[in-house]
Amino acid sequence: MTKFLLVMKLIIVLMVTGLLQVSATTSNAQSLSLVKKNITVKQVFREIRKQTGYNVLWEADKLQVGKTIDATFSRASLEEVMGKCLEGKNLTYTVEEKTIIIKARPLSLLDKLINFFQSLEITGKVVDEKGITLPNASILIKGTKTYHKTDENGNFKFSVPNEGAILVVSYLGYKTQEVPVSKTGQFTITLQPDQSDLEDVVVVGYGTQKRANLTGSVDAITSKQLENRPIANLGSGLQGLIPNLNISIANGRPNTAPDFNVRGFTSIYGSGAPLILVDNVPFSATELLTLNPADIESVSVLKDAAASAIYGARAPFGVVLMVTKSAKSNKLNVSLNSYTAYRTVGKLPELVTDPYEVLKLKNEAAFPLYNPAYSATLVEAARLRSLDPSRPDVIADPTDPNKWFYIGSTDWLKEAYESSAPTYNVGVNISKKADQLSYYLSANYYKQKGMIRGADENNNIYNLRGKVDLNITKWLTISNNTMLTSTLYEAPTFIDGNYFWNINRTNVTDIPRNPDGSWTSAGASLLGAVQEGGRKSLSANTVQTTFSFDAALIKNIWSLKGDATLRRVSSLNKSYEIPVPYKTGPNLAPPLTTSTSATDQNGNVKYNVINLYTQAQKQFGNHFISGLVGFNQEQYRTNSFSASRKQLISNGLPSLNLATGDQTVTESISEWAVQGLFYRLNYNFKERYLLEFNGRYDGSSRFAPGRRWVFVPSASAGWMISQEKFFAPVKESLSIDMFKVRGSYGILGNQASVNEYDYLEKMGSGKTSQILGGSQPTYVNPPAAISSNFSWEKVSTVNLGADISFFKNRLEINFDRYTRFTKNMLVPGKPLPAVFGTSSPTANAADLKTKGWELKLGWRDQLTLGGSPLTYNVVVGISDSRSYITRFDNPNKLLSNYYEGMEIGEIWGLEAEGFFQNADELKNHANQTAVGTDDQRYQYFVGDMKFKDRNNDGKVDFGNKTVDNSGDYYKLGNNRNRLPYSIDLSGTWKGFDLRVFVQGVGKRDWYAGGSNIYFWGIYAQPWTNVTVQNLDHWSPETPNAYFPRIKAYAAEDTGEELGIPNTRFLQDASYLRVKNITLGYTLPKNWLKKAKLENVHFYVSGENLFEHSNLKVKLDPEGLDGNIYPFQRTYSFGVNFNF
Amino acid sequence: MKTKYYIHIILLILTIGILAGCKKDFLDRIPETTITPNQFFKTSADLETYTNGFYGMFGPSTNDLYSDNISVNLGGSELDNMIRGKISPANVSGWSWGNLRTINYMLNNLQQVQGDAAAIRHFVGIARFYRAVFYFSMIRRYGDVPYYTTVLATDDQAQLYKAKDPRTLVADSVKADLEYAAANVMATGTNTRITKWAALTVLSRFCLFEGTFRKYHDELGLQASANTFLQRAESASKEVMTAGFTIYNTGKKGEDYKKLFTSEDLSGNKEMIFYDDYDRALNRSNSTHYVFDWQWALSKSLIDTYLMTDGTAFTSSPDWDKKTYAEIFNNRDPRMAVTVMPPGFSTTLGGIPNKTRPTFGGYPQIKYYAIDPTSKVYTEFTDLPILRYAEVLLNYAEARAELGLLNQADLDNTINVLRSRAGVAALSMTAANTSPDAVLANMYPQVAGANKGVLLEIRRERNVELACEGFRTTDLMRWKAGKLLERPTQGMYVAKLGAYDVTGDGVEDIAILQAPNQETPLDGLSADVKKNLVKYYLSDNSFYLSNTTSGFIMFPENLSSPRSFIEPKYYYFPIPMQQILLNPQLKQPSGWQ
Repeated sequence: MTKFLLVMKLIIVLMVTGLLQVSATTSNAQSLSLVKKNITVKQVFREIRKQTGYNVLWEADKLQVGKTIDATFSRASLEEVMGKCLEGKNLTYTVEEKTIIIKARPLSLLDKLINFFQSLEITGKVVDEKGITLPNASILIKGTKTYHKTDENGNFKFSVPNEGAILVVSYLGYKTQEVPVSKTGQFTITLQPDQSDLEDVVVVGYGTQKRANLTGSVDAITSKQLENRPIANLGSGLQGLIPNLNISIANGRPNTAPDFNVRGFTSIYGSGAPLILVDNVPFSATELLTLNPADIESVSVLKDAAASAIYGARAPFGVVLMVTKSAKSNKLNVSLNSYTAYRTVGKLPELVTDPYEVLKLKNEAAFPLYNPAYSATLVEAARLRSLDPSRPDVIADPTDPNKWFYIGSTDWLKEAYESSAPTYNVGVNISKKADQLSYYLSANYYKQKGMIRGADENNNIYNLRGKVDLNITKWLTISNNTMLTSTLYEAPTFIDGNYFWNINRTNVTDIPRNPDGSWTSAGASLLGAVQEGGRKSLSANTVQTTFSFDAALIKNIWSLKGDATLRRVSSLNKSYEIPVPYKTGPNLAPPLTTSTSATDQNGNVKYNVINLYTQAQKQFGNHFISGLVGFNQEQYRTNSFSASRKQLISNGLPSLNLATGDQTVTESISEWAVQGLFYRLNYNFKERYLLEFNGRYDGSSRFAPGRRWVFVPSASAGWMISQEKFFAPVKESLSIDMFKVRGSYGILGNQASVNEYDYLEKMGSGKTSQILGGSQPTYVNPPAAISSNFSWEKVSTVNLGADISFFKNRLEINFDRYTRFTKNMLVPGKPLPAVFGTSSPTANAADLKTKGWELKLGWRDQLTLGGSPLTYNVVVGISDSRSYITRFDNPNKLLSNYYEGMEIGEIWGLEAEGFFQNADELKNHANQTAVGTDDQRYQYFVGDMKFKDRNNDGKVDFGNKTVDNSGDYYKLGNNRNRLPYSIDLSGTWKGFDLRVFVQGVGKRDWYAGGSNIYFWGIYAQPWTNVTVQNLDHWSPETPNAYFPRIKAYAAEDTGEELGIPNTRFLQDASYLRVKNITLGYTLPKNWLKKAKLENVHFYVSGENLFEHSNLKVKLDPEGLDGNIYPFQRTYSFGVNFNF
Repeated sequence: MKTKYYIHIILLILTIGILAGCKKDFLDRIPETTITPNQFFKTSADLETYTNGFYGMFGPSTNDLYSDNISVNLGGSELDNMIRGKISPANVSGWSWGNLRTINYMLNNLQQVQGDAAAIRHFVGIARFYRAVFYFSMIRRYGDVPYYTTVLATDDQAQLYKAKDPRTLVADSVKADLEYAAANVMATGTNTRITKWAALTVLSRFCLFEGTFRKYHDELGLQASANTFLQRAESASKEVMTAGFTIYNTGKKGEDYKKLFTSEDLSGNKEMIFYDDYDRALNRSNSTHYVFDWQWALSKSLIDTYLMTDGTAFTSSPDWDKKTYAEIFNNRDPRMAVTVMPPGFSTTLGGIPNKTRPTFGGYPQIKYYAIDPTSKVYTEFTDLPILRYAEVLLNYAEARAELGLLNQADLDNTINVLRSRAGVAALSMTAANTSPDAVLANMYPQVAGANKGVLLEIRRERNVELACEGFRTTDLMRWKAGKLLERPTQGMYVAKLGAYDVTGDGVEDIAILQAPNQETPLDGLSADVKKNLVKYYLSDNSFYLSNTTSGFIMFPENLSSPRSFIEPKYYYFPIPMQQILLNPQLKQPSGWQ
């Protein structure tokens, strides 16, 4: 709350500063001389300020300052001048502190009465630009809540209070129009089509383009779709909003960067992430984490090669262009938004916690290996405790009485997490647009508490952004865009250890603390480690400033633009570790095998970006030509060093400087640079035939001299069929407004397929683990094998698309179909005999083909509900893609590697035939040794999995593990996300607004790999926990249960027994998630006037509220690994104020 | 208008400036914190730095997994699985060649190295030492393997896809590498690094291995060359025996022996030729406490091998096969009670005695389990021997015996030094050869000739002295004694169902019963004693007794999944199938084709 107050104070200070600026000029004279005909009221006000130093403030909707008067003032008093200006208006004014404030003349009761009886009867009709009547058009009498609508023939008839009334006429797909009512009579109100969709400009590479003229595959959203949601970062906010902008979030940790992808599988080696640019400056997904989502005005996604070609080798797999907000109106706009959210842990498996049942199951699992894992005496003790939970949960170990044995019933998944944790966000932005100077200033503070119990985990993000545009001359604008971000993440050091793995690997029969209050081994390694095992803080400060200029060399024809950006990041990560002592028996405190230590890591990033480009355009009759040529250069250097030292003098002062033990210092520097020359040529004929050519000549430091440069061209074309005469009848009959087809082809390079110095032989170094002559000296490793002809990966895309809209733009359909070829992929070369001694060097040796499509359907309409208009909007997006290897040097088609014809994501496995129900079945079935697990000595028993001998050769095996001889191993499914979809529903009615956002994946197979303890539970290891799902297992009494006989290690190793995908346990990982529901309410404007507020909006919002999946275990469909920071459900309440 | 000109000029300058900034070398970015090969390998110090990376390739071993010294091993092992018929080219691992590339990379990059020739040869010697260690393990596992002295290039078809080289070539190369190392690696310096003596010890070990392997594996047809290796084993051992190493003996018998495996500092121990240093301050710990009762225990056959203190065989003492757990420790070679858990042993200093578990057979390993006198609980900062002098003496004795050159003086300089430290009566060559031990003769039927008796005793001594140090499996293989692994393993003797004292205090601690509720054998015990009994039931089927309700503990797995040692197939591991697919020239070892 104190933070909130602070921010409020800050806003007030900023506002006052803003006001003072406006009234800075002074003059003693209070009279005015002005003689001029047809002068606008605004000009008069300007003159008042000039001559008297008095400012005039008015509300734009009350006073049309464009109205002209004939001024004949000669040393006239203010009163006289103002009287003339406000003539005929029901307005008055007051003078406060050299400011003239114009306001409505308060109505007396009598006035109101008169007004009532003066009401006028009006009639009329509403038509479109062609004179066709518009039924159900909405007519609001301004300043009231009275709505009327036109009838089926577009006619209306009603009374208005008086002559000053203004009708606000709106109809979906048309521009809203205000009509003053001056007299009774017949009105014909003609609405102009709202071409906003067509006239909309979309941000594209190095410029903007009219949506109608796009020939590439570009999709865009605005800030509206990100607002009023308690999203932690831009990535999670964008998830699902744009078809085939696939965002996956690995876990629920506050500082995990979402993974961005455009159009499916990209490349089998190296990064396939799209290029993300914010205001023309590249950002990584991690860097994006710290941006303020409220600063983003629009997001465009350039999907095909033609659209992203201008970014050349930086953007083989699409571009995500973000633009930050700028001042929009010439009025000072202050907006404040704040929310508080509570998060709860999402889906987690349920564990069996009864100690007797658990020990029995563990003994069953361990058969015949550890037989028994728990002796009869221990199981008996557990049984007694299950019957009487008041018995102690610790007993002396019967075989080694020095040790304790635990028979507790701890649900560690519950111990490990808080029931809820809060998030706070408060932000403010101030903007104003003016002739000379426009500015946008924003500040935001975000704080998220973590879910780990007792861990005091905090993620803090502070953002400041200042944007200033200075119009130096009519033709030159100089701008600055400066961003300052400060982040601080504090957490226990151990959270990066095996925390999430250990939670579910800690036995429920273990307890956190011993009877004497000391930690148990389990407690110390889990709760102790996060509570007392040391902490870390990661802090980073980013300063980024962009200076840019925009010179209109020839107005509207030739411009020159440039920007230079400097980003500097300095980070300091401090951590310390303290081993947590524990006891395993009354006198048994095992030695701590690690010592206390402190580590500091300091990092500096230097990133410079320069863009310089010039654009010329001209319309010659029906021909429009534009061209752009530019230069881009980037240079990135990261420099970090890390120092750590063991043996802290005092655990309370965990500083490097106060440690006495062995120390390690490392330094790491890496650098890359790119340069590129690019061009774009556009041509269109009557905006009907559209052509575009893009290209770029790119160089990257990541390749050897001589292989550094690459030229990548692209071309695209569009045809606005709806403008063709022959199409008119179709257009008419199908109510089509616009129909465009597009096609493109382009090639791009991929410099991100390689790391900084991959073309060089580099020798790694480190510190030996062995102590040689008293210390652990440095060693140097041989370099990895390097291919001699290491070069660019090239990505080409063919794209065909269509945009069509119907019913006065109510229905919009966008469809794109593409094939993307990733050629010369850098992949580990062909499998070499192991005598080679290291991995086969990466070479440009593989090709990939991805085919896919995306479809977006938008429907919006307005209807009347309870006398008020209800506008609603539905956007459905769906996409799909599949990828195949078309070249790979694997002549034997070994299944251990990629091979020609392979589909990315394919899952190979065995066909399940149920369980061995009796000894005969077990004896007579094909030999399954080859698919057994070494941990179980390849043995099978009654109740175990029975696999089908598909090739009837008497044994179940993998053949020689090649495609052509795979034994009984065959393709079962595919683990890629298929048919990701989203449904975005929003509506407003009266002051209310509602949004429901559903997102999901239509088709996906998933198989839990070996040691996925969250899926397999006790089948992974006898030490892992028994999940409630595990109870549905085979026994002679339950022959048709889901799981086989309880058998430890059956699922320990991928590729052995249950660790081999099989049809029985292959999961349907498709899901549907209610990503967001927001209900908001905007206070009526007339209430706000008294409080001098422009807009007040309250909302409640829920994120990740509910999901549906067909998984057989309780796991989050996006967090199937289980071994992760859990996803959370978020419930928030927020408010936005606009002043 | 004037300003407009200025700004045009500024823009022009800016543009030119930016374009001029695009120096031609703008895209040249050179690594600053990693080294490239042409900047390295310049001095002998570089060679030292590089060889530091080799030390992870050859470390200590603290158990005999998997061999006949183990009763049961829950963790399973490749060898155990193989002789149960469950290893095939499809599921076998191994055949990894990364270490060889690392070593050859240095040996192929010596052209630029400047400096003292002896210093350079010293580090080359270390590299060749590790190459020998690498190929020694390859020969052990596969017999014939392809031999490489260069780093292979991706397009080196001839080398990448070549057939295996004969064992003789590989073995000669290993010997040559070790001989080079012995001649060039310095004799002085810390024993945590490779010295001349470490090279000679491994040379002795390898030559004894190869000599005996060729001698006993007549299927190879290499018997003729066996003696060359045995002679080299003898001479290499002899050289080490002149270097000043001594058997650590302060007259404390078993305690002295125990110190070798539980000491936090072995730097001053003259028995250490090469050891691995663990250190509390540097946070380097081992995990030796897991040797105790974690996944395995020791077998009856190892326990039987230990002599009585008077030098007679336990297996010839009266009723030796009817002695209970508490009784077998009486008058035994003191090394036994510091290798196998004796009654009264506690995991903490002065703690309550541990009660042995029949489920593992009853003989937990305690060799290497170290207790810290201060904290009174186990410590994991003990230094671990990698090469110790005792082995050299054993190698020498065995080589001399195999060569028919052994005499009593040799025994007194070798076996009897070890027995003397342990406090066991000396071995007499005549006595041993007069009446060879029947139990040992049955174990090693191939041993014959005049020295049969003493050779069997040398093998006994080797197994006793080096128990749990990782020698046993290789020894069985080179002696062609794989058939021993077929024998179902046994644990302690159980005279009848009922309660037993396993802590040596006269009070019963554990009970072995038929099934729950069948407690008749416990009649007559006080309620107090009964309450504290840890009960084990035959009905749990985790072990059984050789004579149903009495006899030695045995393990059901050896019935359900019996072991058979197919000769000569199981003397080698198969090569993973994928490798044969990639290189059809490569053939599986004998028996696996």
